[in-house]
Amino acid sequence: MLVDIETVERARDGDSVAFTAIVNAYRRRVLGTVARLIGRPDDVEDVAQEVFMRLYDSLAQLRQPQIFEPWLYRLTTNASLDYLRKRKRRPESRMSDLSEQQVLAADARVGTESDRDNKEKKRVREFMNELLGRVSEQDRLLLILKEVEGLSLKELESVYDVNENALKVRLFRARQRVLKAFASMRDQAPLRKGAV
Amino acid sequence: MREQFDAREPSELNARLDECFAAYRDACPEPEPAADFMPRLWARIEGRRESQAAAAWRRWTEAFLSLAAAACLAIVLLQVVPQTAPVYYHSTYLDQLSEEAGPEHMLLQDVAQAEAPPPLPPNPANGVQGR
Repeated sequence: MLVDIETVERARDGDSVAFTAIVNAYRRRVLGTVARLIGRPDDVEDVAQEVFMRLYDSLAQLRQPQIFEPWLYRLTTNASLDYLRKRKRRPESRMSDLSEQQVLAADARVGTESDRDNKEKKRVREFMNELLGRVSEQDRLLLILKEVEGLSLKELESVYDVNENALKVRLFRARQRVLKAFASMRDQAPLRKGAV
Repeated sequence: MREQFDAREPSELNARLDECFAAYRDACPEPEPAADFMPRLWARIEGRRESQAAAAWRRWTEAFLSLAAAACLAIVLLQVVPQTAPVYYHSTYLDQLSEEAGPEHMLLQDVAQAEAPPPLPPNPANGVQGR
């Protein structure tokens, strides 16, 4: 844990200094997780703030400070899911909808990423976003939490509030589906084999 | 597609997928929080707290107004609806008692009649019976 249990307990009891300490300790991690879960850099900070607001509202209900981190992951996952649900209802702005000025600004931003490493990372992100976009939101979130965020089965159990066996089944099925999508993508675009 | 998927070595695909996830983990930049992250967060928390307090106050006000309206309605209804006429007794207490009690109390009525004073003799002075 990035903060000690006493800090969590003090924040739970309404100590705003302790709460600020928790936010300062976890905000980078939450921002990173949210960024990977929602895939939209512009809205990452808003969703992360929503996570911490939910934390502030619900911290009093946390009976065991030891499970604070899975609790925070759970809040992060739920806030990201809520955001993704809202985004589905909202029409997405695509490149064709943007003004000429906005397109020029977007091109300029890409143009500054001339570094080879950045390009490679960008290609990896695009490939993985496309791959994970071919499975359901639930599968995508579960796999990101497990494979990218590196949560253990125990932590995932707390996040999803299910037992280990049910979680293993979910993970197995999600992985099978993403493997199928992976194979299909590789067959469709064999040149991408070397891309990642 | 299914045949191609099945024919491929699953462990090789699994390993490639693990590599992809690892590469993705490294490729995702850690976003830097904005400088005003904390002030904005506290402002939002305060804003939500105030709106919650306002909502609670509104709920109480609405409940109070509903109760007041219901009380007013009840009072108006009590005024408007005609009340049932009061019961007036036109008979004496003994009549009523004998009616309610039945024949076994007839003796009581006889006693009452027996105790009634005898009629007065006519007064020759003014021709009026009794006083």
